[in-house]
Amino acid sequence: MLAASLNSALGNAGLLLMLSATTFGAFATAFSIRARATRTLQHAPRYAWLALAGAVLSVIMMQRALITRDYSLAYVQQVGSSATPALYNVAAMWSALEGSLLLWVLVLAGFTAAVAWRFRARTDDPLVGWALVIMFVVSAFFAFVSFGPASPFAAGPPVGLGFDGPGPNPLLQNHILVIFHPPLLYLGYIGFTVPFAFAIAALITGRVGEGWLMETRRWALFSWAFLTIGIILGGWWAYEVLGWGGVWGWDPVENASLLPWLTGTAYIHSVLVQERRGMLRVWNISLLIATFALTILGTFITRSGIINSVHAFSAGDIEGYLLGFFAVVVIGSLILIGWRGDRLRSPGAIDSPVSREGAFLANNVLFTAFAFVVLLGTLFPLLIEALEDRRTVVGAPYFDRMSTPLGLMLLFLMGIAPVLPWRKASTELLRDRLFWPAWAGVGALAFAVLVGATGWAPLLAFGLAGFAGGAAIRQLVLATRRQGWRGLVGRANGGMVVHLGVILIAVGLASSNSFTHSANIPVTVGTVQSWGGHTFELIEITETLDDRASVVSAQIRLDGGRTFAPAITTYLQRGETIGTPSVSTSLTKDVYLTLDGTVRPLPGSTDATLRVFVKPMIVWLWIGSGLMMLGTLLAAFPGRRRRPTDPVSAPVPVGAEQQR
Amino acid sequence: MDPDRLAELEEERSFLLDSLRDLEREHRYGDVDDHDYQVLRDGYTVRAAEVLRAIEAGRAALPQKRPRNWWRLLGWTSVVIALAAATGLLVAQSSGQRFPGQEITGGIPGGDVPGLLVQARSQMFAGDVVGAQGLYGAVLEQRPDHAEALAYNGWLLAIMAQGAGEELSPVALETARASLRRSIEVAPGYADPHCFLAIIAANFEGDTETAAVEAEACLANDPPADMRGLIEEFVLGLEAIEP
Repeated sequence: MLAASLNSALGNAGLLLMLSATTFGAFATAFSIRARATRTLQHAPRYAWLALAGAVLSVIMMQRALITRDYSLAYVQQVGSSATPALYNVAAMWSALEGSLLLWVLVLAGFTAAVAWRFRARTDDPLVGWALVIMFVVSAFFAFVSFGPASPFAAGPPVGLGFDGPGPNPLLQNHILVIFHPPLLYLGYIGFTVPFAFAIAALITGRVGEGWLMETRRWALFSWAFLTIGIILGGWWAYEVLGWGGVWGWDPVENASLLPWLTGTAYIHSVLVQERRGMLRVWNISLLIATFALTILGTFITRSGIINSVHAFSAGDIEGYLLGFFAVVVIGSLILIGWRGDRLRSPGAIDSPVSREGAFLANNVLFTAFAFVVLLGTLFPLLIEALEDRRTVVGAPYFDRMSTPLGLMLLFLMGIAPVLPWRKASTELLRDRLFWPAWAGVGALAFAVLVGATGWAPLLAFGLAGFAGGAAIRQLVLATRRQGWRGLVGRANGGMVVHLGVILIAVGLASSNSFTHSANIPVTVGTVQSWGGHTFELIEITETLDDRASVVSAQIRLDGGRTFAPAITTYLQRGETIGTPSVSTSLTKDVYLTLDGTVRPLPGSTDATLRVFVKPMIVWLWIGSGLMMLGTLLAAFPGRRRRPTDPVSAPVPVGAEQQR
Repeated sequence: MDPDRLAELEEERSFLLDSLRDLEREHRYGDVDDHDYQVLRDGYTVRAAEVLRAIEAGRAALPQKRPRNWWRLLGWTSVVIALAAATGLLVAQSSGQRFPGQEITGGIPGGDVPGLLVQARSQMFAGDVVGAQGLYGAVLEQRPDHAEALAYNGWLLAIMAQGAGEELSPVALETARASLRRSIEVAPGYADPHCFLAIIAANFEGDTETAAVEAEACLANDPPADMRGLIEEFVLGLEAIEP
């Protein structure tokens, strides 16, 4: 491959360095473990540093190419433009297939280096060694794809003097969240490679006890947190940019991010059962494998060009590689699980379904069912197209109809699980512990009816949210009474704060999905229009024009107070027009204003048509998300912890349970 | 026994057996004298034997395979298959035809509109009046106030009204006019519905006065170039008819 420029030469060199370092690192580390060559095993982290250096070099060269508008590169021809502002020019790197894979490569190299650094004193431990081998193999695969079939440094066709590219997709240069949403989502996706690598290492070494779980507990937790915040920022971006007033549309790319989140969430719950009771070993390993495999499947769905989505990438030549890698991951993992079957058996069984472990199991069944529903709905059109050559779509009603009961059942479990003891619960204990949560549920339901909520699903959601919230607050109150401020940290208590965040999100979703109303409102300068308890007055229609875009915005005075400016932006290089909503936010409702895009209002004209959505309580989605992140941080702090390998599976002395 | 401890013992066993093998080779090549060889071999052998015994004890202590309750397994398998089949059925029932530009799943309300409009325009230009009207109708199901869909839905209904029977024709024509008027209400600056109302008034009802007013409104609202040419000719035709 001939380098077209310095950027191309050094960028390719960086990718080649990473590919070589990870490939050689994988072979050398595996060989050293087999040969018990402790001294050469100490070199394993060096391959990780080299790989990271290569990835960083490539990313720097890509950023340089975008900043200097190096149109000798095909990728810069595709997404570069002299009119793109500096901030969005940085984000242009992940606005198309090849650059997004480069970001993937960088994050993966970063995680591999972080693992090598964290375990640098234990390189002679076969568990760590094999985990590094797996990380190297995964890194080598993505480095190969990025260096070969999806190279961001490939030379483009010659362009004339004065050529300027179209810039990134207009939707990706319209809001600041585009800078954060993809990298955070990638940190979540790719972060799960670490627990996956340790799970495979545990299978290879036979150390399938609880040790590897402890090594990866925080890695899994932080990956989950990044995936969560990435998904939520995606919803926020959709709300702020797409102009349809919603946060989630069951788009295949959204589904692709939700799938590993569902299995990952199941894992961070069920892992507690293994740590405490030594049970669910096969299940936990399977969940991690599923989570990792689903990230690869999601990458395939997003980057193979088989779908047409707001944020999917155009067709590439990498679908075969991704599918092949997915198959290797799934088949290889299943073979390893079969091989280690005798060691994965649980030392005990669940004593009673009405117990903490019983609730965790039910939680896992529901999350798995949820993942199956989403996976089936997402893959169904692809399967039908492959088998019958028929183009079909699975609409949002299917996903809504299936996810509503599952979500309600999960809310119920969130209420009941925290009050359940391990092993077995007596009726008296349940009556005592569920007293306040039950009243909180009844209170929430009564309040919802009082403020005019109707419909069985939202009312049930509010009631169950109150119930679950009561259980979480009860737990936190008891913990802080016992331990002071330390009652807020640690896995169990931090987890309750996460639950409170999830409950706020559930309330926000139930309210905004069930009670949103919208209308098209024609507005004229000098006339005040009333609708839905609000007044709208068009002040003027203005246009701002620069090299990049023409923005026509309508200055709207809402309720006689603040002025909002929904706009229609026409990106001059691409000739594409997109709407930009303007939102009045309060704790009880958002008033979401967009310009109806059928007829673009002319600057200076005296009338326009507004599309207005009134969305109750949607701000609680973002507040709940913040609480989830806070809870995750608190959960990551070491609380008062018992050794997970203490013999909790031993029979409990008679009467001991009652004393708890 | 904890599987991690068992794995460590197995690791130690491999190490001791490898060491014994290495020792044999070194002794064979004369690198280790007979006395040292004997001492080292005995040491390794004793340690290996201890480790092997510990491994055997550990394996025996692993949880045994529990007898399988086939009826329970069959029951759960049936439940899972039934639920999966029900979900599959629901998916199949919830799926529909995918239009160009449409995503394979979900989609934001109104998100299908661009694809449907492309399809509708293409069918209209291909002369498929019924198909195009159906697609504009599908747009209106998602966006009842979509000005273009209202205008072209009205126009296509008016064309179809010509072929309808005497009883149906006036009803269809009135529906068409209502759709066009709604389009004007929604987007007062949109030329196309005025143009269509002008043609309907003149050609289908012989009302040249209304036709002239609507044609004028059409031209005042800056219609697309091809439509402008058509309407300008149409106005000339109207002037020729007028006394």
